[in-house]
Amino acid sequence: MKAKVFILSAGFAVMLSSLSFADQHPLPPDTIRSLPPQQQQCRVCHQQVTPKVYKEWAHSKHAIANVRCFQCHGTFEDFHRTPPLTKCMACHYNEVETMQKNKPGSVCWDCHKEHIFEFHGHGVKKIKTAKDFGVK
Amino acid sequence: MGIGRREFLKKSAALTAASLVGINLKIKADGKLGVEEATAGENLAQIPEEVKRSPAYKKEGEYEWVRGVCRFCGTGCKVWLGLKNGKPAVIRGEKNSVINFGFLCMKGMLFYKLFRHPDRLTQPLYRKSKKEPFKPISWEKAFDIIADEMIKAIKKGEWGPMGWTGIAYYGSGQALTEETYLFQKFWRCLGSNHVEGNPRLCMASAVGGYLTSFGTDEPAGGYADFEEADTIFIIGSNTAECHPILYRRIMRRKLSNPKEVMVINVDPRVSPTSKIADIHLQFKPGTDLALLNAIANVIIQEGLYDKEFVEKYCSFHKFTKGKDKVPLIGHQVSFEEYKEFVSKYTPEYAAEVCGGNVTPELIRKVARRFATTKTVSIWTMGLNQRTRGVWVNNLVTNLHLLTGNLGKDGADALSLTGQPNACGGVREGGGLCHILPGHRVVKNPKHRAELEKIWGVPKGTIPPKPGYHTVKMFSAISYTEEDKKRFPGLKPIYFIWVNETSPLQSLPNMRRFREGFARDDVFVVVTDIFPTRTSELANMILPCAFHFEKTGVYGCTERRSQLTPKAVKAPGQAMPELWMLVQLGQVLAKKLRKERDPKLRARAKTIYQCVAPFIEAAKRDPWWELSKKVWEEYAQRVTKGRDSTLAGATYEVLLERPDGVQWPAPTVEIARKGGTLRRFVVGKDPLATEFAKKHGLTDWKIIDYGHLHKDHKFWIWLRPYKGPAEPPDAEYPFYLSTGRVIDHWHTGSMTGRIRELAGDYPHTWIEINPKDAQRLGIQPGDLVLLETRRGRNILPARISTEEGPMEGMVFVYWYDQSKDRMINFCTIDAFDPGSKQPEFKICACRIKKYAPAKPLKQFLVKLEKVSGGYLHNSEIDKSQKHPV
Repeated sequence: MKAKVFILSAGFAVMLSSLSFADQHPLPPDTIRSLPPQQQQCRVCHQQVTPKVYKEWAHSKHAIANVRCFQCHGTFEDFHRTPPLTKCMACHYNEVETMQKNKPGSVCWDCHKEHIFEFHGHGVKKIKTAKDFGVK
Repeated sequence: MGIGRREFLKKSAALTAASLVGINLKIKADGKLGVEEATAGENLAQIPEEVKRSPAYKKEGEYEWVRGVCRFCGTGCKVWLGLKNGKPAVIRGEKNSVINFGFLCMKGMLFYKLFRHPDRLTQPLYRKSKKEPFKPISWEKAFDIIADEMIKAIKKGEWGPMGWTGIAYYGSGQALTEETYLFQKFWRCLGSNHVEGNPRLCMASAVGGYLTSFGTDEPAGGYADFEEADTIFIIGSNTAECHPILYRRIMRRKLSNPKEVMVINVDPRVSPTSKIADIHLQFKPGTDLALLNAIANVIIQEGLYDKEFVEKYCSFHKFTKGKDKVPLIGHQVSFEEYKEFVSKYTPEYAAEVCGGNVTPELIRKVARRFATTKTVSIWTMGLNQRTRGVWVNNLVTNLHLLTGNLGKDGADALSLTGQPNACGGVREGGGLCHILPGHRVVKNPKHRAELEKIWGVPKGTIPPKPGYHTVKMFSAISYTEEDKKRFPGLKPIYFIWVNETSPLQSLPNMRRFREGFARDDVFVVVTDIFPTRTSELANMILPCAFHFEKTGVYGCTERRSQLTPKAVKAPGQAMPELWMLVQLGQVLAKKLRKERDPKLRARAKTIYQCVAPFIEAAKRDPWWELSKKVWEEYAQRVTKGRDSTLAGATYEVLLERPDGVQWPAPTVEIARKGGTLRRFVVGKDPLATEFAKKHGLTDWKIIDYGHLHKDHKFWIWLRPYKGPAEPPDAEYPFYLSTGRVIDHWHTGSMTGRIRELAGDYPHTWIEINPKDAQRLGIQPGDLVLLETRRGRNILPARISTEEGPMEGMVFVYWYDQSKDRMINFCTIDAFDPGSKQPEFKICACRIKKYAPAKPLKQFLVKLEKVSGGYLHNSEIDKSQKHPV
């Protein structure tokens, strides 16, 4: 038991320390900051440049529950192309813990497709907007 | 404009998200990083031994974890704060909490970045005149000056039935229960009922609603009903953004049972909350009373009401002005009279009044669904911030009573609280001018005497008449001719202590309030962690400890109290407010002893007696022991025997529980099990069970033991339709409504300093319906001039075909601190005659294009070093200075 705890906490320590190794966003932050203000939010640009990823996210439970890009990928100062598991752990701590116990070294998106994060099939088919309700 | 409708809509759809508008800042705006690294080797962890021995603490590798509660809305999510090498480094949810089950929203997972933010206030600052810069002073000197200024203000004012008229306290639903309790005790013992707080702007109408419908404040059920409900009726709440973790539960319930569960969202604006809704009822702002009465009418006409429940557990009441003495009681009428009353609200009539997409058939559909399934209703400011907020609260509860949707799993009328401690601290802790702690009221001589006895102060210490409610209190500071005319006999206030809130950004129609605060004959004390739009008009700024830097309890929406212990060392000289009060009490007592006026001199003893039980604890340990001592007095002595009893919820129990305790929790045994989930239900609520026995109500399953209802029944109220105070007209043809965005909390003084949040939403915007925008030639991102009879704003436009307000309505978020974008210069201060809560949600405005789109910057109020001391940037920068 003790050894298990040690391995686990060592694993976490490695994962947590990965926080400090941030990637560089392919488009440099300074370039993005020079864009018109309407185009600086991640999802605005990514709707155009990675429409598939955007759509997957937009139809996920994450999107409905307002979990946005920066919560996993960080901001420019703390950007990760592949988010460290610590980011998942803010909400899914126990799931990550169980996963590490059962399959050390695995990541959430081995099973739950990234951006959709559904176990089987796809995301939420119908996200309602104003036109669905016949409103003015 | 040479642009066709079709092309326009296409364009605006493409720009939907784009027009969310800008970012310009990225924290670099102030050249500082979000988190200041503590000096090398400094260990900021400061965890009380008692906490370390409890389940609220654990150590894993180089991480120490302390369990507390989130402070960024009224949900009450349980969080673990992780300290790495003695520095706050991460926050995660508590899996075993029945509130959030481990989940957090972006505010909850990021607030650790504020602990060592460079903008934190770290020393007491003082200036005699508001025209001078602030100078750092010692705590001793600060208390000396405050005591002198309080006495001066008392003498300048008068003594009357509400006590001294010259001094006021304005608190917050974010202050800890211990803090609100001690502040109000301090004021009452000093002899003033001028005790108010921002929950007046937020929850007062819900209090009025529960008091009239249940005879006692606060809801009957809790969040657990979401998982059991078949219908979730959301009205006047953008739950997805304002209570994201509760919305997650609703989403989960809906998506796991797409066919069985129905979500109905009722709102003039299509908000992110509608993403999973089955029905969105869009109605003209302010017509909700007609809509709800019509739903009740259908339920009765079609015989869908729960006859047994209504007959046995409900009675019908009506208030007639001039005939009835007490508005909370009114007079009883028959079911027939109620039936007759609602019969004029036919679905056809309501559909015509409500406009939008409301049709008679849709009303019938909603009514049938509401009546025939287990329904939970939730609401917040959309109902509360109205001139008929109490009535509309009653009308929602009416539907639950008619259909027996109360006191059962999956059925409840649940008013969501906006702030983390509006319920626990202010509503239960006595933080408003007319109430006293433990659900007591100022007007009741028995209640006053009970408290005086507990506090050990002479009989008659608490003045018998309620003080000024919020709008009146601030009008007594601005004290213009108009204010005096509006409130005859208004007495000016010369001293105000504003604690953990920023009224000079959050009050409606605030121009004159700001001008009043800027005068030098009003002494303003502000306790906060960051400079704000209120501290810029202060004489004294006292740095207080932040969440997790002090100890105390928050009570959330569902009557649940949770403890957040100290874990982090506060920066500089920042101290908990409890300590400030205990010190000030002693200084004030000394000074009052020397006063000539015997009435004033007599208060020396009571004010000393007020803080005396806590002096030793304040000396030994103001961070943990002091709070514990105050909580003991409050929970075990003041709430004992009341319906909001927390007598069993000791700090020990609260540390143990992963999710706190719901009152009534009269004993430690009950508290250890989490308290009472379902109020009023015999067998589930210990008070109801006891009540049934005592009154011989042996066959009653549910009992309304609210002290106002002598018939022990729930009351269904006859409330007619009434529109808003200022409907649109030819001159101001649009409805203006305001609200919150998920990233930012209220006035943005905290969330505006977290770079992730400020980066996504650096400034506010105005949402306009595409049809209106097209008519007025406004493009996404354009700067729009918004004017009301009270003020103006210049805001970038967001135009979306997917979300947004109905035609003829605009919507603005109120977190922005920039002078041009503070929407509360424009909102109206008309208030509900019962709850005194202002109608933030509806007023008339006009809009026009002001300038083409341009990059905008975030503006945050900060302190800057100048010759001779410190000034706020907004005091130096002319473009941000107000009043000019």
